[in-house]
Amino acid sequence: MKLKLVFLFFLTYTVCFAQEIRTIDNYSHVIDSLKNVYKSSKNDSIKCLTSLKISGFYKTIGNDEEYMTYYQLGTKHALKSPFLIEYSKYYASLRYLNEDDIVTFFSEIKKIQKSLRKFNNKESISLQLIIIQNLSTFYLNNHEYDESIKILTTEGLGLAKKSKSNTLLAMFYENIGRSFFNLNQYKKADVYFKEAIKTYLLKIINKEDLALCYVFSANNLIKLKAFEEAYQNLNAAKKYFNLNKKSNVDPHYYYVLGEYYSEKNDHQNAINFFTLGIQNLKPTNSLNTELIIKLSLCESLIELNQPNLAYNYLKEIEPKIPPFYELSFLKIYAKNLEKLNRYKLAYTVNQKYIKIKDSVDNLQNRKEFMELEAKYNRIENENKILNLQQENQQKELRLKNNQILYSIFGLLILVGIISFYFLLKNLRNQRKINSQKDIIHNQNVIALKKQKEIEKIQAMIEGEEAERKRIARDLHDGIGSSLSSIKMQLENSADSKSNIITLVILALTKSIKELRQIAYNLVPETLNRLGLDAAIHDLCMSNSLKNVTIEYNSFELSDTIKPSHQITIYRIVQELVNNALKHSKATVIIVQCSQNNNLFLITVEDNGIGISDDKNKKGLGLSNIKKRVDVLEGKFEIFSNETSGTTVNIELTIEMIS
Amino acid sequence: MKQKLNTIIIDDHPILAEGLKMFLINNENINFKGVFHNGLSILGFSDLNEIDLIFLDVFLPDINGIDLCIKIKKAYPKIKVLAFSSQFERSLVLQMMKAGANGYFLKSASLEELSEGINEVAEDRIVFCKEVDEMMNHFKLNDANTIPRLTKREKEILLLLKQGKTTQEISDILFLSYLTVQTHRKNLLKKFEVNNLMELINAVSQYGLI
Repeated sequence: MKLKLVFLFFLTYTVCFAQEIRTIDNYSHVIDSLKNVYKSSKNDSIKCLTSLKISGFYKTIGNDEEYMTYYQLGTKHALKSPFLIEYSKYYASLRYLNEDDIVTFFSEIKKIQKSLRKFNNKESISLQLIIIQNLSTFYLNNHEYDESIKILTTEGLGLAKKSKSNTLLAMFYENIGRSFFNLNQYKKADVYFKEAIKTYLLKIINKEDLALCYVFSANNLIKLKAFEEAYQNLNAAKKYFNLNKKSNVDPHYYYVLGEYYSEKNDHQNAINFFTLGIQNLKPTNSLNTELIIKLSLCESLIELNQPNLAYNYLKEIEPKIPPFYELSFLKIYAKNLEKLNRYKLAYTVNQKYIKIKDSVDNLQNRKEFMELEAKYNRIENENKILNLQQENQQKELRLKNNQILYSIFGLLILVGIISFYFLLKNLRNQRKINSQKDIIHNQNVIALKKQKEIEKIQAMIEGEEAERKRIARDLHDGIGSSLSSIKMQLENSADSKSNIITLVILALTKSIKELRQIAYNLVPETLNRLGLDAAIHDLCMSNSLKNVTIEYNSFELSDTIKPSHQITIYRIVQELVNNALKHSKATVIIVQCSQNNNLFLITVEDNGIGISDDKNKKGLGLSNIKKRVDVLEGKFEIFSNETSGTTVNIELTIEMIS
Repeated sequence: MKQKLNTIIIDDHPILAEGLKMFLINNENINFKGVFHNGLSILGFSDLNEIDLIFLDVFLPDINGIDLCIKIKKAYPKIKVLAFSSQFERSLVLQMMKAGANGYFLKSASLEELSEGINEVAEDRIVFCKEVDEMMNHFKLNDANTIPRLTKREKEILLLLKQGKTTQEISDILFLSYLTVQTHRKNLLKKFEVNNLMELINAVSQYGLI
């Protein structure tokens, strides 16, 4: 049975990534080349950066004196550049990088990382990545596993990609892989390791980095029981570094090889390789590397029933065990003590183990519990939300369906109503149109009838006038002239003085006068000869009697009014004057005619007794007047009362001789 | 009267012309020269310049007696024209006199009147037969009334005009067409022989008509 419940093989704080250094020779080499850069450069910022980096390397290899010297040199060159000031702060904080002040170190570098975010240059990004890496390790050491992964995957990976440096990105993938490995999440780790190897292979800058990555990947694959692939990876790693040539990859390589056999229960081989690993440890290898190998060795020794040897190792490393490895150590220690039959101590150690495990578990459990609870709550909430959403969706769907249904229904109703409305409207319109058509038709019929009637009246009137004219002429020229001639001959005769002849002459004279009146009444010769104005004037004058004055006023009467219209107007006036003379008992009759282009106004007004009733009106030949007014599309109005007499106003539309 | 009047008759009516001819031939003051049955033939008559008196029918078949009279008078102002007609409407008489006629006789006038008339015309006097004379006098009396009378409609319109109403407003109030009211308005200005509304209202007020 494997003891390793929590086995963490790599846990270290990185001072800097710059020119990834794995061997002590490399360090001095890099430091020397950096010193050269420092000397040749005249640029303050480069001088600053190089001197600070040198100080960092000195800190890594434990030379605190040189570290301080170069740090102070660096700060001198930082001058007033805000970036360099922030950058140098990191190297200042390195002085806290020891067990006692580690918390201070992290609070410092956290602040520095935040302020470095403002600067988007390569140096800033790589420094930030170093800080993130260290923060992640710090969280891991404090059992804050999630935080440690989170800071790497979220902030770190993004930043590494942003740096556009292949090496940085590959290292970051690798680091994430390691972190997952430390958290026993081997499958995830495998993904990142493979990604890291792929990225390294794109552009190989430092072969040892790649070799180390292969080694770590192999270790991870062993945990996944992919022994063949692990073995291949270890072989691949060997291509990129020289085994047993002071490389600090050596202990890792032997260690993993040991793990390989250990995992295959070949503990003898495992012990051999672990021992090789321990023998090849370099000062640049971290303490953790040593501890891990030794712990693994102990495990294998215990398996091979060599607890005494293992006890020596365990005793050796006991004071160096950092909190993160304590559990593994205690577990192995307890097991070892058990094998040595030192049960009492074994029990104590186990108690301690259990206590720590409990506390860690508690912490973890509590965290997990809380997380579980949160997760549960979240799931519950999510479920609730999901349910609600589903409900909502259903509701919405239902609502939508309903809406659609309602909409369709409403639409149908609307369409129905609209069609009904239009149908109704159409019907009504049709009816209206029909009725209008009927009305128009009727009107047309009426108008036609009226037109025909008017035409008939016109024809009648014209015929009548023509007849009158003919008769009048005959009377004048025929009988009238004959009578006048007879009269003259009688007067010329010798016995004209005789009584009988004188009587005959008198009778003839009277007859001629009457005849003339009759002819005149038939048609006034003046109308033909002298026009409407003269004719009406004559009419008025000749009808004026001693007790009745007929006053005639005319305005703007034209000579060019169509003759038939002249006759019509004359007849109207004649009729009205006759009516007034016969019936009104008036003393004054006003006759007024005026013309305004095609408008002809006639007013006949008397101061008589008025027209008492409709019968009289009809009897007065008003219908004849109206007929004539109609022929000229005129208006006829009559006002009558006993005190103010009768007024007739007529408006006619007349035509001119063209 | 020393010299006989060279006289012709223009009348389209043969019987009547014959009667008059008989009378004229018998008249000692007349030297009868002939009868013409239409108006225009007289204008081609060569001895027209020797004619002193023409009995002219007012209505001829070819030309109006009034117009013929004007032509004769224009050509020979010394010729005396006596209108001889069976009709005697006032307008006819006035027109004839305006055309330059020296008298107006009805065909029904007595021969005595005719004889007297001829004598008076010879002495350059205007003569009418008795009936025409009576009628003309009657008209003179009627025409003497010079204050214009207003119709009721005119009074209505005048009142509204006095109130400052426009033609359109008046036509709306009285339910008359715009043109009708406009015509009445024009008539009123003519009736009172004024040029504008102000003068019209003044004149109407002066006469106290409204």
